[in-house]
Amino acid sequence: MRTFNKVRALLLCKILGTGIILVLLCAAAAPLLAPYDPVAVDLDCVKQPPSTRHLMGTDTLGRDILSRVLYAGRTSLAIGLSATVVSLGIGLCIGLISGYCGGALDAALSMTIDLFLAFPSLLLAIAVAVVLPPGIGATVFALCIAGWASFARLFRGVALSLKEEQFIDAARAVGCSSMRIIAVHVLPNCISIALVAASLKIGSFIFAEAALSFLGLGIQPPTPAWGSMISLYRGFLPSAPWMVIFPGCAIAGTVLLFNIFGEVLRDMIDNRMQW
Amino acid sequence: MNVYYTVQRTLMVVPTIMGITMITFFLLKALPGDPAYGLAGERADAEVIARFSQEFGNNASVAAQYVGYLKLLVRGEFGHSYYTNRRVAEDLAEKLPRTFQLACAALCVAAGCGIGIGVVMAVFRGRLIDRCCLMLTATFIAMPVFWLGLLLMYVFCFVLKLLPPAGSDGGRLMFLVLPASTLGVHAAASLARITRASMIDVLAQPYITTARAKGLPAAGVILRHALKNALIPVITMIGLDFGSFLNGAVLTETIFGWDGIGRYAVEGVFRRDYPVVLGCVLIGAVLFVVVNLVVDLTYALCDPRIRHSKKM
Repeated sequence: MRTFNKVRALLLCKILGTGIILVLLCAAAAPLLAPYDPVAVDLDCVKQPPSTRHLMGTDTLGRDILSRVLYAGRTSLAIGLSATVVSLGIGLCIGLISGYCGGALDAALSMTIDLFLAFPSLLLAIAVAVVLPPGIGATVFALCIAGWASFARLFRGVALSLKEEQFIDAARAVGCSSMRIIAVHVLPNCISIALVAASLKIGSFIFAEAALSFLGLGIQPPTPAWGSMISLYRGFLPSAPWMVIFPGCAIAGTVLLFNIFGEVLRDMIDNRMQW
Repeated sequence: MNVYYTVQRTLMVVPTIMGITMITFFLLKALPGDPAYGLAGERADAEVIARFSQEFGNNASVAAQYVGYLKLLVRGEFGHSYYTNRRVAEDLAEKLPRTFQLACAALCVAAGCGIGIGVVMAVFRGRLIDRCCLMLTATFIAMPVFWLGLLLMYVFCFVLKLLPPAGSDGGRLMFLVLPASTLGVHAAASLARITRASMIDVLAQPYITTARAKGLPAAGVILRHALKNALIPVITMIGLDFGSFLNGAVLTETIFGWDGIGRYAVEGVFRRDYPVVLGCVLIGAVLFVVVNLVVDLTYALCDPRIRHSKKM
């Protein structure tokens, strides 16, 4: 039964992984796949419902929704992924140092981590994004400020438990410095957990990006992003719901893929960790 | 209840709140120009600006400015809205109860649906209904709050014409249904999953088998013996969700035109009304900290293992 479950989880992982790669490819190859120019105005076919010519319909300026969703995927996914990678990096560094070194450094770093966790994350991201001039860099920065602390707390715990392992004692006995132990002995043992944590968290970063651009704080028009498309079209909800439905489906589908992928990975590795 | 733990946990709030004010202070400093202008706005009365600058101490060190900022906050002075020139503190006090009302309604939706569905899932574990619910909860968790709100609005207001699309109209129940459901659905989905996991653990315990072996009716065993013990992690989660409703409220209140602090913050964002935004962030963070404190203390009250163990 156990083997059967393992095989099934592995298969599920492969299917979900393929799905994620497909989504990323679709976004990356948007110029090739998109049937129309995402910013080209065509006033002859305004607000058309989905049809064979425009699979997801057109918006108030006659722009093709499908092309816009594909192009928006580029910005939204690029921001979501880079924010995850940067926050993961910061979280790994601070969490491992805090957990491994202990003492006063740990007290100070833990307090910083707790402080950032004390903010409702979206409010913090909004506050940072409001102060900065809008753009891709500013959005990623705001998301990282709001998101790094949960990674740091996780890896602090991981470092605390790894510290008790014998191979760390052995490394210390042969005279390795703390930094070397963290980089060479602790870090490699965090990779699988880092992968799981990242895939579980990407969804919330994509959400936060969508929320920021929904509020007009992320990517500025005419560059499409999923959240800003929903906010742009929400006034036409009664007469042209497809303009709102499809970008939202793109967000929900992507986040669902990443979430389930992360959960399956987590169950394969270990289910007793505190996430 | 252990007094030592209560006092220690309560005291830990102080540095956190200091840190929060420090972060909002740096955000204020990051604004272009004098922080006094940042709080009062350039078109405010000369007298107001003079009062704020005096508090910050012109050309004083950053530390002295921070102390001045703290003094202002202690007196409940969050600055003046650039746009309406009203005191932000007054606006916040006016709008906070409405957000609280919305959050409570959302909590009822979340706890009711979440625990109910979770119990059903645990009882029918592995069967079709469990699988469907798992898929459904995963889908709901993956939906952005604002999009879900718009979908609900489309279906219930424009297609079925059952509920009003927006507004609050003095808090009539009809107006509360959609925003509360939107805000609560995420939490309901994650609560359902936690209830399921916790119930499955408890249902495997020997005392459940004993209760069944005594011949008690199945419903009694599930509700009285199992659910009561499975609820402890769920209650913690409910508390944390209540805090995170502040995040969701920002988006939900905007969509449904609910006049609470979430919409107030977003209006501040649209108008680049910095004192309003910073005031909302500060109040939001402080509320979040207080809610977490209450959750931790309640948890210690329910579970004796926590209050005796030392915090890591």
